[in-house]
Amino acid sequence: MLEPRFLAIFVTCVLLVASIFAGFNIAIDPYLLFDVARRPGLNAVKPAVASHEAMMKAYQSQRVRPRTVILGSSRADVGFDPASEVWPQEFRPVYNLSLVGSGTETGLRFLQHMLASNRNVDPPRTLIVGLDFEFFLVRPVAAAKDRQVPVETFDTSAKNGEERLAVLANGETNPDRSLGVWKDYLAGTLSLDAISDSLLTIFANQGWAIPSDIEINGHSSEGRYPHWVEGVGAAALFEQRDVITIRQYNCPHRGLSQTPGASIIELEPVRRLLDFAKSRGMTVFLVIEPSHAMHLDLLGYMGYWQDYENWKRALMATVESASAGGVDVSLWDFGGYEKYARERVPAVSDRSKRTLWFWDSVHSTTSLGDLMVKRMLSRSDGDVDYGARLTPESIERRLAQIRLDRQDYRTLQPDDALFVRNLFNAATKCRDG
Amino acid sequence: MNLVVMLPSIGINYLAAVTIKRLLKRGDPGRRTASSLLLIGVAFNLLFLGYFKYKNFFLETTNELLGTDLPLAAVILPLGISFITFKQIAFLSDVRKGKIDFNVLDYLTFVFFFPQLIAGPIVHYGEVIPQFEQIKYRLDTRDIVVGICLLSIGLFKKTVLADGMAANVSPIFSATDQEETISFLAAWMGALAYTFQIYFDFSGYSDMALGLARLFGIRLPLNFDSPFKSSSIIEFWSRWHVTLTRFLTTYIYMPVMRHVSRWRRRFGLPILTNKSLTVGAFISLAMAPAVLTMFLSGVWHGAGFTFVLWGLLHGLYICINQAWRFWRPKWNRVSYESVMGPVGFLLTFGAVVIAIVFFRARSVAAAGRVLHAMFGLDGISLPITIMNRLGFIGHFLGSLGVTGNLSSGASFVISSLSLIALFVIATLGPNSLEILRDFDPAFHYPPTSTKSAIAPSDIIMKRGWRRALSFKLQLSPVWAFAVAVLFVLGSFGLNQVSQFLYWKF
Repeated sequence: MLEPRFLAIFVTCVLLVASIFAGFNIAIDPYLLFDVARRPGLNAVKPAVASHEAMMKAYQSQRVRPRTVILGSSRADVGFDPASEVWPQEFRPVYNLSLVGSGTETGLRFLQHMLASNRNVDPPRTLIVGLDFEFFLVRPVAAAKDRQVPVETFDTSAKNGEERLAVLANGETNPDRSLGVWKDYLAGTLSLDAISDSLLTIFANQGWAIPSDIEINGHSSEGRYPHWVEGVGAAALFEQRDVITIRQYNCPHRGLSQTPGASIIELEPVRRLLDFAKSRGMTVFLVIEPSHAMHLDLLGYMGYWQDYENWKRALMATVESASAGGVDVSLWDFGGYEKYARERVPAVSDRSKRTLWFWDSVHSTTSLGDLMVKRMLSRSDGDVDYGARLTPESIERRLAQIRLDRQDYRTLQPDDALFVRNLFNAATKCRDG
Repeated sequence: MNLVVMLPSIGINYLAAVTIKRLLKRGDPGRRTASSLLLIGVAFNLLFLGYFKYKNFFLETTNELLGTDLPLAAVILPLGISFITFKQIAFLSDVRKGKIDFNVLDYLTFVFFFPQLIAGPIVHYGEVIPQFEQIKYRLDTRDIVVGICLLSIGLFKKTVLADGMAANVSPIFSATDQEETISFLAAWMGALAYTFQIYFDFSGYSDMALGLARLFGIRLPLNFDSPFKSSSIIEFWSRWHVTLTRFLTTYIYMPVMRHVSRWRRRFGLPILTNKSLTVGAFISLAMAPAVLTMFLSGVWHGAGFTFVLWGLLHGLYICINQAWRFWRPKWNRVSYESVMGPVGFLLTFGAVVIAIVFFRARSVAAAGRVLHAMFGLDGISLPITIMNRLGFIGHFLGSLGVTGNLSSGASFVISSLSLIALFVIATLGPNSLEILRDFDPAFHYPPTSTKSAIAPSDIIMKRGWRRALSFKLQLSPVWAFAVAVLFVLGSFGLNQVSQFLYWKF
């Protein structure tokens, strides 16, 4: 009778081992699913944000009651620090709902989710929305038969975990939510990923792993960047980002619409976001994200400069139209060649020097984020000499100024400009021209 | 949907089998007609498989070569079609040989027995159906213990070991798909990671198929027998996908060899014997059947030139192996095994890894880029963080032309250690069937020996270690706990995106 005994012990052990693993994952709570207390040295830092940010913010955002919400991609996620002292008192508390790889569509979906989960409290009064030019680019269609091809999007979070959100895109209650939440609970307790992320959480809290983290205000901490600078040097981070930019956007060449002259597809989510904000009485600050001069130069070399300027004009027209319709919205341009964007990058071999305003060509530091917040929320224009509010009167002047600043940059910092030029020249040329 | 697509094929095969069975009762004329009907049946099965699996491949190739614009068909590939088709060919052949008796219910059970439906083993009717007739309609706890152990080990191999490698494979092969250049170490790590991914994927699947069937009291034939312990490519194929090799040998390799031998005898040409061996005989009787068989094996695995090249490369390997067997120095067996065992093991492993690049790459050009890098033609680079930590060694490597890259040093170290661990498990550890050897785990187990006299563990480990690694299942609490841990971890691995690699073949 050895076999029945073996089977009985096997079944008991399966239940026991599974329970132990599940209990461990709940206690460490790597994905913020259970809102377990964050204990220093054990689980205060949450490195799983690097791979599970959408899941984590879907649950974290249900537990906060902010007056200001920040939406955007990784740029806003890193650059805007809700805990910074620059936020005027009437805008606090601030919550950063930005998600790596997400555009306005995803931002709107998560905002809807957050508000639907907190129906009994006042909605946030202010929205800061980071806008990435690259997310507005689409692949043109050459032939009529290709027009059925879905629009390619760089908004990679859009389809990520729709099931777990409280409402559908049309605002109705999501009927599949329970299923989505149970799937998340299952993934957060009874999965290999959960076990490995729980272990990673402990390692990171003991200082044995690079400390990516999501703070209680949603900010994706900058902690990992100094580690990377120390490991490979700031220049390497800039170069890596530039290489990724060329790889992602150079070939095939894209445009703001699928066919010349057609409307800009990705403006539609912006319009819907503005309508939604109006319906909830929110003030909106649309922010054209800052880029380092290296990135701006690359946009030019890849043939996107005209589109970049046209995109700003189209945004401004959208804002004007929304304002006329009663939306309290303003558009701010930080995508120029000002002195911050021209910050010199340390030499390749130098691993001791850090940059002050940018971590790489597209991700600004919270120091620059603070300047942007001051510029937008300060009552007087003269406080900060950075960025500009775009209006029908000011936009052409601003665009012309940026072109002049670009010329200055290439003249005054020829080595920096040449570095990017050479990087671009070394890349594979597009077959489609 | 799968069923709807497969039913006509299953129905036609059954009718053909019934007709062949009746014809066999009519003496010689009936047997000749039965043979013709068998050929028609085989042709039908191959055309059926060809339509679903290769139609778009032919259309694409035609479009590319002739510049035509033939529209691709929206063909659904039924699950396990390649395996079911081969199983039916074997069934018709067995009926023609008069080996089996059958009825419609047994036939449907044979075709649809789910544990081996999607990725083998490719069983013969006579191996499985008699077992159904002997099933005791009461749970047999011994069968359940063996079934659960095989299922747990298989699940762990698939979701923990194989799926754990996936993250190391995709970035490398995706980069070459996009015409990017990769470095020597990245290319080798990608190729090795895929080698172990598919190894543990198929090994895990085979264990699970055996385990599931055993829960019902059925023993399926051995299909996977530690192929990386082989010291020759011929031995490798006697251990990897054993039932496919058996099928190809029975229905392609041997018939081709027999026909060519008859043809050569008729014209007075020499054939293969131990006493005399001519180059002509070797080419026509050893090389041609091997290359043809492996070419078809490649085509069977997938519709694409990469699979064709993978098959041809293995055909070439087998030719070299056979030539070596015919013309090698005639040392005494002990000296030969002690020298050529390790050499053969390393050559076999390396040859399989190189060929598998074609198996994974999306195009021949992408495979070429991976191989280019594997041969060191695109430079060597290490994560810059590791170069910095290596201090003067890093500088020395730099002076030799090794460059730094921005990939994660921690990931590099973890991936390297994982690959080493999987290599050790695959080459030195006992396999599932060896662990369960006291429990009669599979049909045809233990296999009739085609193995080399010397295993990798014999070469590098002392006898004590070898004995420690030849452990076997005992019905003890410790083993129940160990199997439970494998089952839990394997089940936890199901809670993420995963898919069997071998189902699509």
